[in-house]
Amino acid sequence: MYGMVIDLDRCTGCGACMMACAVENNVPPAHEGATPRTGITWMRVYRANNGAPFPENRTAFFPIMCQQCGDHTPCVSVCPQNAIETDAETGIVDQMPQRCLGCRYCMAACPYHARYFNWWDPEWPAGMEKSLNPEVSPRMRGVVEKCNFCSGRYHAAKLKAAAAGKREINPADYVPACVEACPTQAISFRDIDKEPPEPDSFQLLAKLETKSKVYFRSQRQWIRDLAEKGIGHA
Amino acid sequence: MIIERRDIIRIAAGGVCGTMLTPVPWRLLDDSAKWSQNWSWIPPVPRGERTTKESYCTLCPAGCAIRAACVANHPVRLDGALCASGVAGHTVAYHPRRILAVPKTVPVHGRIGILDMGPRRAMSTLLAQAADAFGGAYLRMPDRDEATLVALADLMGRPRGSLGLDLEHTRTLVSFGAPVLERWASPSRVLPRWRTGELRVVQIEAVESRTALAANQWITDEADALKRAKLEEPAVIVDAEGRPSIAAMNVDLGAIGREGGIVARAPLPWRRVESAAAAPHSIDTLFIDASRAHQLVEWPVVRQWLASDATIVVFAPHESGLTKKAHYVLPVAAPFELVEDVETPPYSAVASYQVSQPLHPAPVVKFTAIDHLNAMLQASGRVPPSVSAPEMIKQRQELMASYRPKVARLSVTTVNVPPSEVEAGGELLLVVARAPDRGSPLITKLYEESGLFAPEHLVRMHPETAARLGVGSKATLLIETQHGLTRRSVLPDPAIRPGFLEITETDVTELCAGRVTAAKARKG
Repeated sequence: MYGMVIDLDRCTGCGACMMACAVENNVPPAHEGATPRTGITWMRVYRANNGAPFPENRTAFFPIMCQQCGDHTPCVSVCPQNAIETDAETGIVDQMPQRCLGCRYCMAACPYHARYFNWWDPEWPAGMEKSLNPEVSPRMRGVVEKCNFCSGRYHAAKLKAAAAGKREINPADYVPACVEACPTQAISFRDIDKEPPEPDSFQLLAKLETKSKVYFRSQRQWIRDLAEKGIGHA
Repeated sequence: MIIERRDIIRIAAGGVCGTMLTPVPWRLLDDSAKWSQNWSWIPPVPRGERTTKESYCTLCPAGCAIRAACVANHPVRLDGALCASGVAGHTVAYHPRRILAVPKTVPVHGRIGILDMGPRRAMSTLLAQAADAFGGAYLRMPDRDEATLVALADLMGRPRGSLGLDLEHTRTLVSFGAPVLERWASPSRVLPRWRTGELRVVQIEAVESRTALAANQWITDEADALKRAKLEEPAVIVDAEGRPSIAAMNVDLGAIGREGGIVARAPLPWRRVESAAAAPHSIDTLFIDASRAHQLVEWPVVRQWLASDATIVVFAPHESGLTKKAHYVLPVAAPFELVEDVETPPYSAVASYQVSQPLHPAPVVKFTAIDHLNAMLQASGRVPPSVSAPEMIKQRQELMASYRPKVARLSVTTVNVPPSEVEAGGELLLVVARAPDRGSPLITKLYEESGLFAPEHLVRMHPETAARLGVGSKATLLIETQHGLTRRSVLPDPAIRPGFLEITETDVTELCAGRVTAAKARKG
């Protein structure tokens, strides 16, 4: 099972992970009139504030993507099309846009607001289609999409291992784009069965018992409290 | 057997019901879904040979190394220790408002000024030569990239560019407002050491910046800041504004000539071009080379150079805030379209020279600013620079092959410090936060689609400040400084210090010369 550990004390909110994610997964630029509600950012860095008066006021940055829930995966259980599947080997919750009918039940069910709907046809400026990642198909209007831990890279790593006559992939061959791009290495990616998250790490909205595979770390108590309550309460 | 109408209906209904139990309808549904999801206007992904190219990023003066994954010779991904802009740098060439049309005539009159927004390139030398050929002035913005080193060099009577910062050995970096954990110096020199705890960052800044939030210690007031920083080990001080009084503190701390401090940097084997002095209102035609917007254009500085009827010509790859100020905009190549060079990155301890190979096989625009200027020089009967930019880069590469730098040990015990600058004061203070430039079409992810960076039309302020000004969320506010007036939409944000207004600028700032300035605001 793959998982991520994000050290929030190292995140400077630069947005490199968001850009790398968009480049890797062929997420199109914003349509005219797109807002934070209608835009598509598989990885989104939220600002959260402790609400204290100045000078004790502090802001932190929370990179949030699909938390790849392990048990009671809310989106899987509500999808009428079986368009979401959890891979038993990797634990990746993958979305199949070909099956999605765009009902958005999964968006309503996701407690992390980590799913995005294609309100418009994907459009790239003239010529930019040459810069698309050949491993990832563009999605169409009317379907939901989300982070899949760059599963295209996982499949490429599997093919590479198979070509070399191996069953196991080389861990260095499978690193999601956001992990690779983070300039402060705040995001780490690993097989959490072999290398569990640090004991002080915590999950977002752990009380929901979704057994998410994205863990966070911070020395600041107010951030830990916020992760329990939800960032919307900042 | 007589077949009645009722039998036909029965057979048809039975057929329909039976068909529902076969795979046919589901196959039809599946195929129609696939068909409907593969419209011709959804572009297919590129196919072709996969290669990698090594190059350097030219979006800012740091010149980070990049490895580009290419398909059919076109870059599809950039890898390296890159910032948000750098990660998508290969997409800048596809900006939706790319400038392609060349105006038929560009009137050139009076005294010429050429403003270089990407100094320290081979192109800079050529722009300076073109300015000489016009009998005009080669101009630059105040050097904010290396502000502290420039101020120290001036105080010590040394040539600018002859000092560096031994960041690889610095233990404590005290920053007066410099964005040291953002886009400062070379991020790959700073961030890994900060992350592992080898480098301690003390940020002295009135407002909450990304560096202030991430710093090991954040001090909000400059008064007695060094005492409160409790420096227990040798430290180096840098200042965003390059104030001599703050730069000189490095001398008192013994940071000059010490390991991990300010060190001497050998010059590159060619002359560094410096900005000429331009008298107020003396420039009649100002050319701005914004092909590489390494710096923020501080418009109040530009405005004081311009004559009342001055013509502004901007060389830019795509539309931006700066091109809105131009009378004429001429197209130039985007980053990674042509061979470029990057001289010593800011605050580097050693001199270096990097050549950035183009990533795009067929540039949309092949012109550079010097190509346009040469054509104008020839049209006016003047002699343009004798070498082209690629030739000059090649010459410099040859010079670097035999370059053996000699660095003398630096030692200074005292410097003459001019009186302290008067701090900005007033009822309201306006802060300009520089955010990633809008070159890549995907940069909307950081602005409109997420709000991670406040778009340029907003002004952020504490709810108390908004209440004091009598404005609510989304109200229009008129902000006035000594340099000008702007209209912004209010975004209350408890993270902003009461009494401060914060605006985001990506390429040009109208209201500030520097980062903080006194302001007035009223409902508008």
